[in-house]
Amino acid sequence: MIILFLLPVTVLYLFFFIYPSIRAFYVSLFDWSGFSNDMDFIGLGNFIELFHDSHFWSVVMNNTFIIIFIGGIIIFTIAFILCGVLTTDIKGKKFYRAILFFPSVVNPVAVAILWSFIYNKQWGLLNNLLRVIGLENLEKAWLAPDTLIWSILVALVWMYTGFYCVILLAAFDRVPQGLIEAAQLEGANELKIFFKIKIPMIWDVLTTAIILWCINAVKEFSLLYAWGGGVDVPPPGSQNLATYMYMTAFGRRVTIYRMGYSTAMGVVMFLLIVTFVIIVSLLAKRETIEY
Amino acid sequence: MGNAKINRNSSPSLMYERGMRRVIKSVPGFLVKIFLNLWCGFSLFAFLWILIGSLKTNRELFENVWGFFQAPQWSNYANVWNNYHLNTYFINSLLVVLGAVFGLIAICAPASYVLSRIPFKFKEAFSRFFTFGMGVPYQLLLVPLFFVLFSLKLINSLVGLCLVYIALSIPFTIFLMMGFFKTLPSQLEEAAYIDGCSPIKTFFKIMLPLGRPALVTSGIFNLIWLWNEFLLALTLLTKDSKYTLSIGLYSLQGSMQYTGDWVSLFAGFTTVVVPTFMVYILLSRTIMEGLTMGAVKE
Repeated sequence: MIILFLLPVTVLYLFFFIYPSIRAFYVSLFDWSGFSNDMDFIGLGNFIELFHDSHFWSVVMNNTFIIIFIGGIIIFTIAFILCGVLTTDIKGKKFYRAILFFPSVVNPVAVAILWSFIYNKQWGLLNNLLRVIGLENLEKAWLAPDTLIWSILVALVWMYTGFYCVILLAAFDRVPQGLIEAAQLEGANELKIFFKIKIPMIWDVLTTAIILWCINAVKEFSLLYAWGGGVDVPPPGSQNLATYMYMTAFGRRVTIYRMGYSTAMGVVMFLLIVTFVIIVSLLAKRETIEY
Repeated sequence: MGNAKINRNSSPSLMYERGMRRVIKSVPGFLVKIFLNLWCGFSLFAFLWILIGSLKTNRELFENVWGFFQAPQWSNYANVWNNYHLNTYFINSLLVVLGAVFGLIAICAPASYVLSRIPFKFKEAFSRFFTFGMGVPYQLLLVPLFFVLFSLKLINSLVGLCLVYIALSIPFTIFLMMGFFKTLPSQLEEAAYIDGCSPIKTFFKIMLPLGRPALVTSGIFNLIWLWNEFLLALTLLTKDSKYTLSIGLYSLQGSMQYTGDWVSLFAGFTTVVVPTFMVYILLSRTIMEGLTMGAVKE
């Protein structure tokens, strides 16, 4: 019976998950164009080339890091601020929570389209708003290369803040009210209660949320691809590791398909995620205070 | 000491100071409330604006982006559905996603039951083996997966995509279901055993109905992520008769940029988002609880 219950899942998992995972590490050691049989073994050649690939570095530095660090700081700051109100006895909490969370379940291609309506140069909402309030000189082509990554960042922040806010809210709900009242009686102010009681008590959830954000930010693909990652020569600032990786292997108008090189980027992505998880876990080694 | 306290409270200058402190304290709170309302108001407005936009004519949109439509243009929807094949994409998406979700539940529920409750050799190793996959970014598998499907002649096949979706969702689904099955009381199984139930019967008659919340939660989470999945579909489907909604919408966006038929794109957006919205309205409590279940270990 045990075998019967485990067999289908194991077969599928081995075939479509484990085997490709192992194969990925193998393929990353070859120079391979995909549809031919000649795979040249070049050892770590792909990784060495990546190290010298200036586009790869700009992609990792400008985008992945802008998105992870700056995006992460903004998202968690806003999430904490919003949590601040939503943990008080404000009316319509559930309604607010539902609206906050909704953007993170919307199809990311649809989110890209929504924001391209907002950023559109001629009739976009943002430029229109600037015109209405008399700030014509601030009008811009928001999706032009020089501002693209920041426009993407704003859309990403809108999309994901609610998600992390709801996770943190669930954790804050767990903090016993008695503890906070006791601290208030002792004369602790809001800030002190926040940093000395609330944060330590949600430490485990906060760490999980930060790790989750790092992983998702590295993997972020749809939004960037939908905005110019898919064109022949992507403008700098429109790509991240995930889209560059896709373009190298499957780009519709790329002349040389480089499967090995692309997979090497996948391996780098995997290592990046592992590194983040280790760093955050080490930094966060503090125990959550149990009550 | 009691006296001192009363004196402190009644001292006018101190009372004034306290009042000031309260005002200062409440100003940030007030600002944050405004911020929250602006944030949520913007989200609501954005979706409503698109809904209204999808019923305008292109002229109305260009002349006044803030305005309401004169007469609802349902033809925008007919246009994207029939001329831009969103109907095909919609059905493709529905088939792949529902197939994957039901398939997943059908194979993961028995497996996670065994892994969480039946003692056997290598049980721990097996559980680790499945949950290990949660740490692997699926982008890493992109190239090898393409060639696995290629050699099976499953490129441009909805069945192929469905199998990939199932396989990639296995780790998370098993993790979630195992966590739930572990919490069920063991007396029920024992009672069933004494009454002469076979293990298979015990699973189907007792554990599966009890595990319903876990099945529903993992079903919803997979439903949402697969409905929105873009990268794998983009890689594994190249023929446009096989597109799912995500890629269909992406290619629609590409062609609308040349035709300038923006209101139809608004209609396309609505078509993709409305099902999500309906699932969300119906199940938002379960979604939030499931999320809490995953993130906050009680």
